[in-house]
This record gives sequence, C-alpha cells and structure tokens, in this order.
Amino acid sequence: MNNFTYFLDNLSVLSFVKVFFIVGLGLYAFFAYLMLRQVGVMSRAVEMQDEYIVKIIGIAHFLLAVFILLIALLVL
Amino acid sequence: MVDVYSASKNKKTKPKKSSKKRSRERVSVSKIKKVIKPGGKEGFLTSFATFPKKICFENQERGEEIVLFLRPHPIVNVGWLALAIVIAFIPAFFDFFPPYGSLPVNYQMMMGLSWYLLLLGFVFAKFMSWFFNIFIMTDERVVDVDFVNLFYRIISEAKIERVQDVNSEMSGVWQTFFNYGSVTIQTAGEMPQFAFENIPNPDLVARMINQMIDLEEQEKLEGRVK
Repeated sequence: MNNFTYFLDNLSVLSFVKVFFIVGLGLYAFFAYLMLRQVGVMSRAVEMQDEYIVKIIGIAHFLLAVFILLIALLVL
Repeated sequence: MVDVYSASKNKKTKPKKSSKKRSRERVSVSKIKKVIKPGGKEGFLTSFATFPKKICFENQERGEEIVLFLRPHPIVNVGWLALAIVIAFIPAFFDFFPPYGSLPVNYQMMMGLSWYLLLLGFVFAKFMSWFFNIFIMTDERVVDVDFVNLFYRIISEAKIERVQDVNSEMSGVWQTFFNYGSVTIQTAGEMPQFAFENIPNPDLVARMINQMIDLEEQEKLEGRVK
C-alpha cells in the first residue's frame, strides 16, 4: 500500500503524456503495418506499372512509425 | 500401348483448340481496336488509358484484354492536398498554446515528430484511396475496384452482355472545366448498379461502353459468344 501511494505521489502530468505518446505511437505502428498489408492485397488484385513506388512508400511509412516509437521509448 | 497412343494424340489436338479460341478472341479485340481509338497515357499516375499493356488484374482470363483503364481525375486530390499543406504548417503555431511551452524539449520534439507522422499517414491513406479506386473494362466485362477506406474495399464485376443502360453525368463548374464526371451502369447481374465517380472524359467513356455493348450484341448474333 505504501508503494502504491508513493507511486501515486510521483505520478505527474508528464507520466500521462509519456504513456499517451507510447501507446498512441504503438497503435499507429500497428495501423501502418495494416496499411502496408492493404497495399500488398491491392497490388495483387490489380497489377500496375510502377506500383513498387506505392509499396516503397508503405514500407517507409511503417519503418518511420516504428523508428519514432523507438525514439519515444528512448527519449521520453 | 493403345492408351499411350491416344493420349499423345489428345495432346496434339488440344493446342489447336486453344489457338483457335485465342485467335477468335484476338479477332474480337482487333474489332474493338477498330472502334475504340487508343488514347491516354499509360503511366504511374494515369487516370485514363486505353489498351494498357502493363496492367492486369487478379481474375483476368487468358486472352482477355483490358480495353479501358480509369481512375478518378487527379484534380479530386487537390482538396486533401491543400488540407495537408495547412496541417503541415500548424506546428509553427504550437508555441502560442501555453501547455505546449511548459513541456520539456524532448516532449516538444516528439510532438512535432508524431504530428508529421500522422500527416504522412493521412496523405498516404488518401493517396491509396485514389490510386486503388479503379475501373477496368475488358473485352468481356467491367470491373470496379472501390477502395473506400483502409478496412473496406469492394471488387465487383459484370459481363458486358449484362449491361443494360449507361449514363454519364457532369455537373458543376469544376467538372465542366476539367472535363470529369460520373458514369453509371445499370446491369442485370448481382450488382445492379456500377457508379464510376469523378472519372475523366465521362461522355467518351459512356460512348466507349455503348460501343462495346454493340460489339458484344453483334458477336452474339454472329454466334461468337466469348
């Protein structure tokens, strides 16, 4: 119980912001992965010229989301 | 021994049948090419192309050729692009909000990074919904690929012989100026109506579909269905 009250005493607004950032960015990374999957599905449905550009953008977007999540874990 | 002989005989006759079928299909495609003139450019961001060579779709049959490939007119992207530009400048005004100023520098940096990541996601999602919103007309059928949002897409198709009515519509200053609008197709199939919105040259597209229907009817009369 003492540990819990100690924890509550040290809980600041910044802790909430930190949790908000990490959870939000984690969910966003999952969303970026779903986008990447959807690009793959659509590319199979209709094969077009130079569609690899869209795939590259999708991969870059997903990697960027993961990279920013890692930065948030390190910096915050 | 007899079985082996008959099997090899069958093997020899099969390609002849398929080559006949293919040549018949080529005749129908060449007829279409006589009626429908090539137009548009086949490129990464094209929204109108006839007889594209480097495009194919999942359920495309052997010998089936794409006659028309359509996407919404690129001008429809102007709205969300303008919004994205406005959103990109919003972080410049973050300092005017007192809670932001009271945050440590690392939190401010993360807020900026997250903002631009979300913006990239928004732009990419909007681009995808334009890029994968496709209408394909082959010498056999019409295929409509609707990418409504990231978690909802519809791929519907109808045989040209089932198309009953074609309407084109162009309304408003923008559509008249940039020559884009919608084409609606009524069919007798499972999907009663196909609506291709914001496509370029709607009148020309409607005319092409009508010409395809005429050719299909002519083929039926001549006994060359398929």
